Order: sequence, then structure tokens, then C-alpha cells
Amino acid sequence: MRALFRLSSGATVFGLIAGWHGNAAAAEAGQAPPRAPLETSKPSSRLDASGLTKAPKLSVPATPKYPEAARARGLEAVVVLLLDIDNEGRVTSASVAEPSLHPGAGFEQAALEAARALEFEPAEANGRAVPVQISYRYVFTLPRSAPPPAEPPAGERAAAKEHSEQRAVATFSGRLQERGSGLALARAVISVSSEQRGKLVELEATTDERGTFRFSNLSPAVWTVTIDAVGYQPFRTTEQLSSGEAVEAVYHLEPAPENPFDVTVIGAHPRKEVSRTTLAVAEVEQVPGVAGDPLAVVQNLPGVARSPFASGQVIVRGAAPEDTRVFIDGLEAPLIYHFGGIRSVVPMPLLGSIDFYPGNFGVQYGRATGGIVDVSLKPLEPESFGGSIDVSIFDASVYLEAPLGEKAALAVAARRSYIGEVLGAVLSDDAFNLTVAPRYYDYHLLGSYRPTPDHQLTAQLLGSDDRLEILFESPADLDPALSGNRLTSGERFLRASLAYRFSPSESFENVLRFAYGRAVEDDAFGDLAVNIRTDSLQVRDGVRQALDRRVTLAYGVDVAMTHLDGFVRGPGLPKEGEPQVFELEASTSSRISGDYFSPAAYLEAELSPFASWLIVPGVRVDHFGGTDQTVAQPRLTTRLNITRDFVAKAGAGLFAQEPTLDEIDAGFGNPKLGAERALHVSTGVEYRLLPHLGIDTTVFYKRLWDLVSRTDTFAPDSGGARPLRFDNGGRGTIYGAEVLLRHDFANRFSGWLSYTLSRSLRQDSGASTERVFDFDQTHVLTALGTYALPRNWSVGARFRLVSGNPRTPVVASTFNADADRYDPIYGATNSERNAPFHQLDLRVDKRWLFTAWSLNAYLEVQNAYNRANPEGLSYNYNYRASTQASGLPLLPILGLRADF
Amino acid sequence: MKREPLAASRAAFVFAALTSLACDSDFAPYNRLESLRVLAIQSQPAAPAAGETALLTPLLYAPGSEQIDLEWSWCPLVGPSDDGFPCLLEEADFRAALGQSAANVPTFALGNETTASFPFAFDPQVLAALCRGTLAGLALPALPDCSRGFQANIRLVARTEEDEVVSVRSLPLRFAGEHSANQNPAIDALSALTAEGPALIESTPAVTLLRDTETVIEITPSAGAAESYTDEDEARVVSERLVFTWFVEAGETEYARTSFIEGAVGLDEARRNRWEPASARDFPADRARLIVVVRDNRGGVGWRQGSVLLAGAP
Repeated sequence: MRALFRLSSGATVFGLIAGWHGNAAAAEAGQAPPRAPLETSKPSSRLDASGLTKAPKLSVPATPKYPEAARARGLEAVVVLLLDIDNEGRVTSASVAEPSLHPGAGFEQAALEAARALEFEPAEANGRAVPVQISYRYVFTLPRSAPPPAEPPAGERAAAKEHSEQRAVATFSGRLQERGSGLALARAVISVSSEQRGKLVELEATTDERGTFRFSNLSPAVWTVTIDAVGYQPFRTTEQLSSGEAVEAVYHLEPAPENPFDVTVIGAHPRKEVSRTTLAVAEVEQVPGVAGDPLAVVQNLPGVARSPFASGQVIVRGAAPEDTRVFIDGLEAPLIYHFGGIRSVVPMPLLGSIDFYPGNFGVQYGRATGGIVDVSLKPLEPESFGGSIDVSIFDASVYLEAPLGEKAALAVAARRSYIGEVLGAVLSDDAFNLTVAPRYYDYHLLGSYRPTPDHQLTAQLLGSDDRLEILFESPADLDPALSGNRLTSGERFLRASLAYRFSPSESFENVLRFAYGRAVEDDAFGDLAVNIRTDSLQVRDGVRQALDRRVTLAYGVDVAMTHLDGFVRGPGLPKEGEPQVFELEASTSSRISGDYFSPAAYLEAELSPFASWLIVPGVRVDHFGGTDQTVAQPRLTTRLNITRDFVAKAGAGLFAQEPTLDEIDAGFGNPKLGAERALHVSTGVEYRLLPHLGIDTTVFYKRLWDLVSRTDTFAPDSGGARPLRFDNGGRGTIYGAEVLLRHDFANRFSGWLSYTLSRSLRQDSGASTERVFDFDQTHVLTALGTYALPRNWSVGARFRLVSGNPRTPVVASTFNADADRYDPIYGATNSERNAPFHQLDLRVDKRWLFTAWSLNAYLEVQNAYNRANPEGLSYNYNYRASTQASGLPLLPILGLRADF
Repeated sequence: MKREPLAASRAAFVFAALTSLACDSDFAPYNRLESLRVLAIQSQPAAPAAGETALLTPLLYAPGSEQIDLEWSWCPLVGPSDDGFPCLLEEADFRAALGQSAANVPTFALGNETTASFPFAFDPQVLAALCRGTLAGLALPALPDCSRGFQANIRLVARTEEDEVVSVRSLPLRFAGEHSANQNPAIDALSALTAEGPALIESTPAVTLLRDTETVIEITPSAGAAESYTDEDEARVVSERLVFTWFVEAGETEYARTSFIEGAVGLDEARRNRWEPASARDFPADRARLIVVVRDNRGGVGWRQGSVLLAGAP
């Protein structure tokens, strides 16, 4: 496992950002012992533990000596260090990452000297201590209040102490807690001071693991209590102690806006891929413009095209949305979005992190030619009962978690929407009744059991239910071909999964996952009917085995079994390049039934011929049950750490995926179709400009072939000819470049700037020329950021500037006297383009901290300047007149969340 | 299997349905008559059997008294709607493939009269072979759907000096015993519920409607307009679905279309609508036409029209 996380020759396999506010006055005066950073008794809420299960925790602090000359000049400074911490928690090397603004004042030297004395509880990955590199910040500040009292001469100090001991008549004790959570604060230093006969008497105590402290034998007097705890707002108060009195106090410290003990893991597991972006929950939950939906954040990353509102589509590098797969904890989810795109099924409190691979992903992932989104649920390690209640314009949810002894934990989350009531108010109309307003709910049950660091068992139950029912007064107004006036739509699923992680040594890890799920889709509208039950079983077993320092193997199996049973009656689904229309009179009925067994095996080697060079060859072999094909997909990536902050990378590989269900269905498609193929090639560089600021650029090229494409040709069949409907005659080319400039949370700010330049071309079966894909967006620029203000306010903004989507013009129309409507005649596919899209979204968060809980409110304003962004053209009945169809107008969204 | 597309499509359909009802369009409604329109094409009989001749009659609308030129044609096999239903067969190739049977097959051009005739006087086996794609010497680019008879495609081009409308309809030719006959639905009367009570709307305007005021209008479908037939998919006898399209020259109606759907929307609901004629500023003429077209779901079509006088609101 060492190879996974080792830093060598400056190769930042992953970084960690932490920091520490040194108390300059204390350090300078030398009155107090070094002040240890506080430890809250819960893991940081910003911990991304997709691979790292425990962040390094400071165990032995070290206070730098305030440079005398700087103090005399009243200089203050911030010094950011890079620390290499070994798997025993010792600082093996320290260097200055960001010097102070006062060169020569001695801040850097003081910080380095102190840092070398730091000791940590080592970071852990799956229960094993691992070496890490972190950034560590010292803040040198001078007291803002009156100048510190003069140090009494040593003799007087001894006299004061003697005086205190001789005349102590009071006891002062208490407890320190974090405001908002009620968690005990350990290792905090509390100072009490009092004027005694004209002399200052100052004493200090340190809280224990339960956050308690105690001063004995204090003189009866007014004592000033001072707590300057790292990561918390300074705390000052006075306590009147009387003779013989025992005073007990509970103090609640308010977290500072930027808590240096919040830890952000930039990359929790080693970077092997050419392109991967990991988003921690803290980044996700305050991104403006996504209304707190975790998966919507992915749409702001480089390589991802803008998708229409509420479509839920992840359009990666110009490919069709269905070419990208979304996983939850390594297993494909039966449903990602409620109602196809309104909200994702993963509630924020359960989120750990999101890994996004726009291409050239590893052999562990397959059955996709686009990208991969892997949502990791957070590690379940609560130390006390807690939870949250979330209320938004869409839904309300509750989350509870609790430890079960020291080795197990349980969490439950449930959510229910009321978007139907909102829609009902907005869409008030006599023409229809929302007999069952659109509503969804989901529920999650998580359990974790870890008897030893070697073994971990995780169980999950995930359920979801969407339902809608509309009664139309005059269905013929909607479409004359409708043979009913009641639209019912429902989709529900339940999935149970079990994961067992076995890691007996640093060099071996095995993760076995099972998931069984059932999804039922049941829709009806007149003659239209979809009733499909899908039973799926997934088994994944992955092994990572380090053979030596230079070779690690990853291998495993990935088996998907699907049983389908149901019935569909309706028109064929529109495909890439085709108008999104449903011609009801062209309906087809088909009995859907089948068993698909799709096993896969993969093998990958992580080779490090030099410490700074990683080569990852691998191969994945998939058998596709739907097409009865076996496809080998060799892949190769490599990363070269030219310097500690500069990485060059490249990758190439083959990818394959099966057609969609309707495309291989005998009634709607062609059962003889084969798998679609893709070649991904990409290269780029990563450069860490500052510990919290990095830039990642990638140039990519994709070649697609055997794409499923509609055809008018026939195949000989018994007694005549059979329409093929689809063949594998499509092909495509996609190329472009991506840039991500990312500022991790530091100096109160986090955000990123992403830009994608791309071109995606496709040639359909039988066509002589290429055309652009439906979501070919030449330029995609996204800038977003969140800034933490004092008093627990934060503000954020997102701005997007995107090329307009291609569209197919209507050049004429024909009156269809059978259907009583005009049918459009289209020009060349995607030969026109909408005007550019640009939009500004704003967000304000305010957090109120109470004794043992906190309340967070946010107001998000999407499309703040009310831009009428074009989403296409809207035509009149005979297609002779058109007007721009615009996206959402200005949309305010309010949400509340209580954490306890 | 790639990500299941049905759910996304379902969501898109539901969302589109909701938003289409929620959004007001700036365009004139489908049922307002303002320019050259082909409102329907009737075949009598609706589904001719071998030996019968279909009389094709269009329902046309043109503002004023413009001359409308017509051009009729037919094609045994047409391409998709988004290409404008192009004829996929060359007539010479088709006739050559038919051989001697071609003599009784009508030419593709059906004339330029106000009506057209399509005689089904040729051997029904020709159509059966076409449906199977086994007509010797003819390579079909697509197979026709013959589940309810052979669907000949009728094309009508209507032209005025300034405008042109291309329209198509299918003509089901019953060439086998399992293809059921169909009667065109009809409307016996149009009426308006005025303050004085129900009044018939006839060709000669006798009813006065107030502008900018909603008036309930009704139709009286003929008895048996909705026939019973055996639905092959459901293997049971069902009633035809009727769709009424309410065309008006002035103003708007509550619904552009209403429909009778057995078990869902009753005929009493479908036969009633509300008409709000436009103000004199938007429609200066003192009379306006109402045309109601009724279609069944098996190709049958009928209509009735009348006119009303318009008066300013009190």
C-alpha cells in the first residue's frame, strides 16, 4: 500500500491542506506551553475519504518562536509549509511552499524549526497508516487588544505563584464544546488571568479528551478567561470567583470561517488516470447554481457540456449522455435522477466525494465509451448520535447517524419531495388536474462494521419511488392521437448491496461487492404503455496487490446479470441527431423479456521504473450478453513527475459498450447489433502553482466506430425482408482540449475555472458527410467560487459562457391529414446553432450556531440577470414562423439545513 | 447495456407535456383560419375494398374568394414524414413489376379536379405481394405496414397565387378478409347556446355571437359516428375514438380539439366547446365561419360548417 501513497522526489501523489494558527503572543512570551491544535471528536466534515480513511491528526504541536525583530516592527505573516509525514506520523521533511510577505524577517525559519518538531497521528487508508504530504500553515499574529502585560520578573512570578498557592480558595472547572455541534474540544488551552496586588497572575490549563479543564486553588477575584483556540473564534469572558466557591462553566467556541483543521484531500488515491477530478463534499455543497444537488456539480467540470435544465444529462466530451455511466460506491445505480433529472437520488449528507473521469478511465470501469462518474458515500464513522434536517424548494430530508459500539455504525436518510405542490401552483390550469402531483422519495440505510483494521463490512439499502398522475381535460389538444386522458408515470427501485474489504497488509487489499436490485417502470398514457421490471445482480471483486515497491497489480471481475420482463407500446425513441418528437401513430408493441449475462475481467499493473514515473498498462475483457460478444480493451496510462509540482501524463485505450435496450429489441430495433467501440487518446500536464492552486490541462482525441445508427435497409428474412432499423454503421471523431484552474479552500476561498474547447463529429450509417453531434459545444467556460465572510456568511457565484447547441432547421412542412397536424421537413442535421448561452448564478449562505446544533440557510438565484438563453426554436403549427425557446428565467431557490 | 434511455425519455415526455400546457404561445392557434389550409381529405368509402372506387374530397379554406388549384397524386410507398413523405417508387418501375396487373392500377397522377377518384380495380394479390416485399422485380426500400390494409398514400397540393399547402393522407385498401370496413363519421348539426337558447349554426348565418364573449358551441354527431370494431392489439371489440377539430375564422376556442375516448372522455364532453370571437379591431368582418372536422382513428373523416354573425359586446 505504500506505493499507493508514497511521495517521492516531490511527486505529490496527493496533497492535503491544513493549517495552524500559532498564538504569537504566547509563543513569544514563553508563558504557556505550546498550544496544541484542537481536536474535535468527529472527523472533519470536509474530509474526502474516497481512499484515505483517516486524515493525519496533529498529536504534538510545536509553536514557532515569534521573530523578535518582526515583533518589534509589528509585522505579522502567514507561512505555508509543505510537510512530508511518514506512516508513523513524523515530519520527515519540511519546506516553504508560500513564504511570508516579509522576507528576511525570520518567519520562514521560525516556522520550519517548529514544524520539524510536529508529530501527527498518521494518515490511514483502509485502516493502514500511510505517508502523506500536507500543506501546513502558520499564522503569526500579534495581539489585537491591549499590549500583553509585561512579563513579571521571574522572582515576582514565583511570588505570585506562591501567593496563589497560599491563598487559593476557589475552584474553577468546566468544559469546552464546539458551538453548533456540541462536540467536545480536546487539547485546547484555557488561560485565566487576574490582577493580584497590582501584579498579573496568569495560569493555563489544557482540556482533556472530553473537553474538560480544571483550575484549583484560585484566589477569590474576577478572573479573565481567554481561549484562543486554533480554528475557532477567540473567546474572552470573566468569571467572579468567591471564597470557597467551585465554579463550573461550559464554554461554546464558534468555528472560524476557515478552520485549518478542516482537511481537504485533493486526491485521496493515487492519480493514475490522465484526467480525473475529485470533488469533496465541502466543495459540492456550496457550489452556486446547482441547488445543493451533488451530481449537478459535475456539469461544471472540464470536458462536460452544458445540458438543458433538469435533464440530468452528463454529456462528456461531446458524446451522447447514455455513453457515460454513473456509479454509487463502485456499483452502477439503477436510477440516478428522480424524474430523469430533477434531483439526484444521492442526498448531500451521505455524500463523500465525486470522482469524474471524462475519458481514458481505468480497466476497473467498463461498458461505457464516454465518461465515468463515481459517487462515493462518506465513510460512516460517527462518534456520537447526530444528523441533519434539510428543507429546500424541491424536497425535505432527514439524516441520522449513530455509532453502534466502537466497531459499527448505522445511518439512515430519507427524503420526500413536494415539488408537485410547487408545480401545481405554477401550472394552475383548467386543462388538466395533477391527480397525483409529481412526487418522489428515496431512502437509504447504511451500516458499517469494522471488527479489525483488516476487515470492514458495509451494507447499504437504497430505495426510490417516483410517481406522477395527470388527468387531462382534452387530451386531443395535446396530441390528437392520444387514446386516453390519464397520464400515469411511476418508477421505483430497491437495491441492497454488501461490500467487504479485506486488507491484511499494506500490500494487499481485496474488495468484494454484491448488489441486488429491482427496478419497476410503469407508465401509461392512452395507448402508450411501458411496464418493465428489471432485476439486476452485480458482483465486483477487485484486488490490489503490491508485489514490490515498483510493481502493483490490480485485478478483478465485474459481473452484471440482468433479467428483464415487461411490455412496451409506443413510438421508437428518438436517437442522436434526430428530433425529439414522439409520433404516437408510429407506435410499436413489443414484449420485453430477456436475460443478459455480462461478465468482465480486468488486470492492471502499476509500474514505477523510477520513483517519479508511473506506467499503468491494463486490459479489460467484457462479454456483452445483449450482443453476445466478447471484447478485449487494452488500455495504457502514464504519469511522469518532472518536478514535485509538475506532472506530464498521457493515455490511450479501447472502450466498448452495448447498445441500448430498445436498439437491440426485436420490436423496436435490431437484435443483431454489435457493441459500440471507442479509442481514447489524451495527454496533458498538471502544475501546482501553489499548495492550494493547481492547473490541469488535457488534450484529447476520441475515435468512435460501430456506432448504432438508424438505417432504412432490410435484411433477408423468412418469407421476405426484415427492416434492420439500426446497424453499426455510424462513426465519429471527437477532439479538443480542457483546462482546469482550481483553487482549493484556502484564504477563505474555493473555486475553479474550467474551459473546454472541443469538436465532435459523427457520420451516420449511409451518410456521405459528417455532422456535429447533438451536444457539440465548441466553447464551454465555467467560473465558480465561494468566499467565506465573517460571522458565518459566505457568498458564491457561478458564471457560464457556452456555445449554443446545434439544431436541425425546419425547411418546410406537410399537412398530415390523417393525424390532423403539420409534419416538419428537416434540413441538414445539426446544420444550425443556437446563440451562445451565458448565465450568472449567485448564492448566499448564512450559518447560525447554537449550543448543540446549527442552522444553515441559503438563497440561490439562478440566472441572476434573467438572460433569455436559447434552447432551440419554437414553431407555429405549420412551421412557417418560429421564435426562440428560452431556458429558465431568473429563479430564486431557498433552502434550510439544521445539523445536530 | 447502455444506460436505460426509457426513463429519460419518459421524463422528457412528462416534462414536455406539463410545460406545453403551462406556456402560452405567441402564435395564432392551430384552429384559427387565416390563410390557405387543407383541413381534411375525405375518402368515400373510407376504406375501399377491391372493386370499389374511392372518391376523394378535400375540405379547403382560403381567405376571401381566392382561386385554389389542386394537384392530386398517389404513391404506393412513401418515405418518412421528416423528408416530406417522398414517393419511394418510380412509377415506371412499379408498373413494370406489376406486369399485366398494371393495366387496372391508377396512374400516380390523379388529376387536378376539385375531387379525385381512386379505383381499386386491380388484383388484391398485387397488394399482398407488395406487403410481403415479394413483388418480383421490385426492390422495395422499405416494407409497408399492412396490418389494416394496404395504405396507399394520397397527396394533394393546393395552390393559390401566393400560397401552397402540400397535404397527404393514407387510403386503406382492404385486400384481405381480415381488413374491416369503416364508415366516415358525420356531424348532423352545429349549434350555439345563446342567451335566447340553443340555435343552429347553418351555412347562412342566422345566429349572432358577441365578440370578446365566450359562447358555448355544440355539435351533434350522427348516430353511430363512433363505430365498434375489433382492436387487433387488444383482441376485443372497442369503440372508435373521435377527434373533433374546431376551426374558426375569428378569435379562439377553449380547445382546438376535443375527443371522445371510450372509457375516458364521454361524447357529451367532446361535443361541447367555447368560442370567443375576436374584437372588430382584430377581425373586422361581421360574420365568421365555424368548421368542425371529425376524424375517427381508422381513417374516417367528416365535417360540418356554418357561419355566425358577430356583434359588439354590450
